[in-house]
Amino acid sequence: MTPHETRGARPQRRGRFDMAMTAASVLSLLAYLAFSEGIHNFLRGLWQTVQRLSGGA
Amino acid sequence: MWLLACGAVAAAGAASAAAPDDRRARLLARLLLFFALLLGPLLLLGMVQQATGLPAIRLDAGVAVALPCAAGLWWGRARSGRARWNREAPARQPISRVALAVAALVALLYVFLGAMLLTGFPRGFEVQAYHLPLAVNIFREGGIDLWDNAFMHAYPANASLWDGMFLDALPEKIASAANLPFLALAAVASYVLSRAAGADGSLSLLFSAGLATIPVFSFSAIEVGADVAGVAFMVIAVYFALARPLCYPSWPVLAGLAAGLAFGFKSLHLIPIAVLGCLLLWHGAAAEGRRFSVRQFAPALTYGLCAFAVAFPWLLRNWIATGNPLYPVYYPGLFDLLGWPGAPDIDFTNRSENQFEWVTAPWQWLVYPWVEGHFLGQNFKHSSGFGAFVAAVLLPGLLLGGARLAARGRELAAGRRAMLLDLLILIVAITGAWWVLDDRQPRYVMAAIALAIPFCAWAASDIGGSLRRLYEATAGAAILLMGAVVFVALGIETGGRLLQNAGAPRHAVLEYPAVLDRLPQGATVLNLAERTANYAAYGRQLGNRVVGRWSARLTYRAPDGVWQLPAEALQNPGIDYVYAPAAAEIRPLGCMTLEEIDRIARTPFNGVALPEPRVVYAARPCAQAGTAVAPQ
Repeated sequence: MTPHETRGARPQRRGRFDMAMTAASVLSLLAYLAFSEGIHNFLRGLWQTVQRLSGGA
Repeated sequence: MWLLACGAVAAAGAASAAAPDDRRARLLARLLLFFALLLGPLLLLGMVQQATGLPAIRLDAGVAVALPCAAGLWWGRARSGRARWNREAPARQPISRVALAVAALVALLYVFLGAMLLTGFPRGFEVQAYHLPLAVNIFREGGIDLWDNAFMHAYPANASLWDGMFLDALPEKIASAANLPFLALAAVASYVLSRAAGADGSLSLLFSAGLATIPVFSFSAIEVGADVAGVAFMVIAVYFALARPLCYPSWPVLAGLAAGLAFGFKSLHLIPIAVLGCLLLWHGAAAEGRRFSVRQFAPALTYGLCAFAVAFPWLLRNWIATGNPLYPVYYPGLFDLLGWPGAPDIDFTNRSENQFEWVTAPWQWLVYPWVEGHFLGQNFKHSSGFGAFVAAVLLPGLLLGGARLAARGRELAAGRRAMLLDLLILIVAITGAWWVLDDRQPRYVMAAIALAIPFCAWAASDIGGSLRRLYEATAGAAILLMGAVVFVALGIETGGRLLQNAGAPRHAVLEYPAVLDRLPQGATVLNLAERTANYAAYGRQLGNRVVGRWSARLTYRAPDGVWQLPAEALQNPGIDYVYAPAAAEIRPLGCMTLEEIDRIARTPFNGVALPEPRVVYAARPCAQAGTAVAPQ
């Protein structure tokens, strides 16, 4: 169902789906950044490394 | 030299693969044949060793077997009359700048990581605990006999065959990067499958690059374990089984070959392999315009036979050694009916506690990528972490793509609809089995993640205009974020240590007493230290024999935690040395003495005290006491 295959589909329906896919991805990425313990630990560790390196210099 | 010869023969054989009008199928067939011609001869020699007892596995023997196989492929291609198949490439679709930039950055990342890996020794818990020890054993003994009675050492060991080729022919440090080709293979396979599923070039490329940055993939790839390779071959099997390109060798043969290799890397793939076989049977039965005939089921049968043939050496080994070809896998009832015993040291019906390494309650798996915890704070490693790309792209894509397929699937061509449905069935089957089997480690659904890529790439390929730019930017950001995680983990945090250790001796880097490097050739070391020390205990020349930690625990550890070594152990299994934590209580039984000959108490590079010093003892009958190997 690439654009070629869905040429006959109603543009309105396609548009809604495209919007939903994009919005879901953006929101999901934001939710990941907000809630993932993994990425928080990673960013915290990175920040500490940067601080240590800059402090050492 | 023999490894180069192996590669040349494999490349020559792989070049015989052909596919008319489909350069992507041709590429994947050639890649598959290349790896099959490297591993297949060793598997065949393993079977010969099992049947005859002769030490058959050697690299030169592998070349000798691969040569006629490659020649046979050339002959078969010539006979098939398709030598002049169309080589013209189909028209190329323009690839978006975001996809190109992200893919280029990910490729650069792995060039960098590969260079970093080459400065160090092979990494990874399971890698050092048993993949590499098995690799050393296989090439030293020339066979695939079980190492010992530890359950995890009885799994199929294609990974050890692969690693063993490198260890046998090349410097140990080069083996550190031996798993990276399989990550590239998985990415290429997911790209080709995405295109076959109807996704456009941009999203196929972008999502394939995304696969390479999912933490359970990227962190597995920088170790030399079995997970990534197993997934790569499983995706290839699914591609040939679902896309069914007209090619040489035929698609059922290639699908079966890939499935058999996937099983040899990770026997867990038995589930998708079986589901794929059922799908082929179903499509054979549902073929229109035919009466019932064996020909309808020929593809499924060919697929099954080829998969079985490639998996057979491991099944044969375990059947001979334990009476259960799938050992240590065991489920009460069915296996009892078949007379296949289970392993005494593992209970597969009671593994649900494992999941609490990642979640605090089972329902949290529903939000795992967004929560992504780990009870030791090790959120991203070979067994942990799906990351931002899975959370932002694959899970919404699966849900909304599934809804779209249900709502408008009838608008699709029948072949395309069937392929997408089959992909969904496989994803659901793998995830469902993961849930039901109760051993819920994130890495056990890696195959489902890889198969979600073509489905989601198809689902999003319709998005156009400014939404498309936003969608690609979101996916690209998620991919680069997770690329940064592995870049920092290996490139910066570990990288400094790798570079510092670049010229350091093996014992200093792997932190074991140097005397293990100077033991007489073939000396047997009993490892009572941690499981990862199994590999270190082989010494610099990989010349020691090792009794692994798990097997030692099963054999010599008393319920009160004391190690009890009977004097008979000096003869069987012929223990010469004992490597143990200094605090371990070891009680020799009978006429045996243990004399400390070396120890390590501090990290060699910074002098920091190790949590626990480790000691090497010489084990001797009482009469020979005092003839220890002197530490340097």
